[in-house]
Amino acid sequence: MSAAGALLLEAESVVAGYVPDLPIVHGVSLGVATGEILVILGPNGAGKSTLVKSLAGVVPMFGGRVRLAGEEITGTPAHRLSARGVGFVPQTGNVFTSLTVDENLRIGGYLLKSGLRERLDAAYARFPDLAQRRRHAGHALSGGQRQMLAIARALMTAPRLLLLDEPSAGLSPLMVSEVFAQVRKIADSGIAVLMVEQNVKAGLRIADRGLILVNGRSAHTGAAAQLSNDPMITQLYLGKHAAPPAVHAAAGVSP
Amino acid sequence: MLNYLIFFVTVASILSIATLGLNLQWGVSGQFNAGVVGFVAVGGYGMAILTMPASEQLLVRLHLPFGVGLAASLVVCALAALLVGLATLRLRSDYLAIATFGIATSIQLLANNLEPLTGGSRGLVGIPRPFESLGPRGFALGYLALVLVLLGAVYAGLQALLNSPWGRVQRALREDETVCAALGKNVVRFRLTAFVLGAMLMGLSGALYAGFVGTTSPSEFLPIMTFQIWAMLIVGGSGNNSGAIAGTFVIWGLWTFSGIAIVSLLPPNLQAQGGAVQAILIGSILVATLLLRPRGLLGARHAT
Amino acid sequence: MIAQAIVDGFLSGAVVALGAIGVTFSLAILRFANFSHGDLLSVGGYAALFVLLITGSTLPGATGALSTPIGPFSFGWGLPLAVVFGIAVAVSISLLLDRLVYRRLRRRSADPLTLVFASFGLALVLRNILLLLFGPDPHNYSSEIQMALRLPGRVLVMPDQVLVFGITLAVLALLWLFLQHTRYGIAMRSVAENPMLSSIAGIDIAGTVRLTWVVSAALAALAGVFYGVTVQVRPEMGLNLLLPLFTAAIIGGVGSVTGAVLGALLISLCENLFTLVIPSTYKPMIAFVLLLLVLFVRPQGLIAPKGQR
Repeated sequence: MSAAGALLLEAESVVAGYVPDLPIVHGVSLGVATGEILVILGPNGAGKSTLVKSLAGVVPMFGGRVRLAGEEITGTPAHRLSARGVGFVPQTGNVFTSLTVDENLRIGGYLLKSGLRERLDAAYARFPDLAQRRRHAGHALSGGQRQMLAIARALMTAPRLLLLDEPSAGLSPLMVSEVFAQVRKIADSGIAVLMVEQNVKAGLRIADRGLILVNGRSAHTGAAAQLSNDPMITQLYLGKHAAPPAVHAAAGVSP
Repeated sequence: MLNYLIFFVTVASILSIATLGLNLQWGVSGQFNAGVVGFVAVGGYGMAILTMPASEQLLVRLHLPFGVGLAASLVVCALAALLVGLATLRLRSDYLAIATFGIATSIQLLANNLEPLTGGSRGLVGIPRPFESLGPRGFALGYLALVLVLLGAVYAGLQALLNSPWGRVQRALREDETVCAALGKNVVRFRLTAFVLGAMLMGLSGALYAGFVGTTSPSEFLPIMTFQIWAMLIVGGSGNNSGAIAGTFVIWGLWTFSGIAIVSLLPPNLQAQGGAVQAILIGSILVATLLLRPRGLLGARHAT
Repeated sequence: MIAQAIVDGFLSGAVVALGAIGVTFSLAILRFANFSHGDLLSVGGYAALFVLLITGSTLPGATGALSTPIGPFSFGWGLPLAVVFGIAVAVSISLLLDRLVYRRLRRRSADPLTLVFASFGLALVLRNILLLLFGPDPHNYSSEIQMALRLPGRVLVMPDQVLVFGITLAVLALLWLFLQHTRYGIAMRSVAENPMLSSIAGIDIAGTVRLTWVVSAALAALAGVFYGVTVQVRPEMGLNLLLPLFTAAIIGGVGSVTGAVLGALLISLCENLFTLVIPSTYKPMIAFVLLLLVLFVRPQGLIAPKGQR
């Protein structure tokens, strides 16, 4: 179990959606501590994506409060959130396909007044694959490389909180482990990570805690290891044919 | 005075048919036609070209009867609408606006220049008119009756169409396209039929106008007509067929009234400027309606 | 004859290119077909005319520091001043319209057609205000007669045209530098491709939108003045250019500046070449035919930025 610090993100009774009369998230509360990974799970249509997007300022929040390191950030527009230390990796449209890897990272560092060069070097050091493809355009990258670029772009502002929307989507199992390994490393470096995931097994394996969202409401939370054993999870996802989940006690496995 | 009233009601009713056509395209199906005058002109010119008595200067000497000419000009209109519709309906919604603008410009150009076909800038004079034999008053009343009957038929037809399954799909499409596509409805085909039908109504309007006035020329179909018909639709409450007719009468009334004021109050050299003031008023009405209506033009997403 | 047509195509393509860039920006960044863009060209052209009218530079035999023609050109030093004024007026009107109309509509409804409709109405108003102020007759910036330059191949060009072409090239080079190498330029490109991703990276979309209006309006005003210099200033000049502008932007691929320029060149060349065989009154139809061709064959544009929808 990685050492989790104080609560960095505190969200209370978040109500969010695209249209005021039709909220998709109905009063969800959660918290993420520095250095910990909270994974949000739930069936399709539960509102996981809407929730993380509302925390990122991309989808309107109609109710509730959000605090970052004790400071109120409720209602902060998306473009100011990154200055406050929130990084977001969307599920789709997460890299600029017509721009090069280097340009993507530079845009990630748009707000930096100084130290852009150092951050770029750090990004390339962390993702050597991207370093080799500096001048490649976004559309020329493979799915896995795009995901890495999307994450690297979000890290350019050295966020305190990283939000990820289904980082494993469309990736091969090998790439999924690589991406998740990176996410674990990021959390271990002291960043709070909130991750929406469809891949229950892999998500619970690297997460510290999990929250299950059903119909826009929080149905269950707990430590990841306990959730993997929870029959409710099995019921929700794996259907009647699931073998009892092997307990990996994998939370906290360091890459 | 009575003569003028008959004239006014006839023209307003003819224009109402075009407004109803625009309502079908915009109010019901959500498509922006920036070249309304083009389709009206196609109807008017089509009618004129096909029914004109044969003459040396003209290319087309079919001299078809009124009714046949009317129907045939609708077909030509449909073809023009198909051309731009097919080009743009799978693309972003503003591309249809650009394409309709383009076709209207091109039609105006052709009308002005293709002399053997359209009579060029002088146009075509002496279009055969029904009821001619009844004398001036007879003609006026007869034509008015014809137009009112057609307007009534179009209105009834549209109301029936909108309440039919086809109409319900159109309304659903306007609200949420992805749902309809998921339900297997061929979105493009529905949009296209609404667009083409609307264009045909505009053509009908043009044809009736040509038949009424007896001449057709580029100056009967100026670009400002697009804005006039849009204003007629918007003022009446877009999406609403009866509103469309009411709006037509109101805007046409304002237009002719201000036109009379300009001609009687301004010296001749300032009358072009008077036309500019009319245009500014219409443009301002359009923009103001957008800003002041709480949901803008979408306020009447529920047709009828 | 063909050589002349080709040269004319390049020279007049410069004007269309500057206007088309503004259109491609509004299609990509502002996300709607701005029907009032053509009239922004007219506004620029007429604002410049206003300055020249005041200084008397448009009259035959005009003399004075501002009116005496510079070298082989038809205009005096008054014109550069007039250009600056024209750009200032066009930019101000553009920002004013955004503040009064477009911004309010954007806040209320995401429907791009609402913005198109507004621009349609505003275009009519702008056009007719110019008509009211300046009358329906065409104007020229000066009454000076130029000596044509003789180029190889029996091609004749006006010094004004060559200057306009040269300045356009310089402006395009500056624009390229701006978009590729400055922070604001990269922000515009990223917002053109993906506004959501841009805002989470910290880019202020509203500010970028304002910048887009400014750049587009400035280019439009310049194009309007150039059109006035090489052709005439007429109330319908913007309306007449609108279709070629849209077509150029669509041919080039929405959001691509290079594409808009190449599209403009293509249209201009076609217009000039085809009028060798068909009567020149049909010139405006060529843009429409090209538009239909592109929409049917390759609607994303010939030079579409890669990886986009």
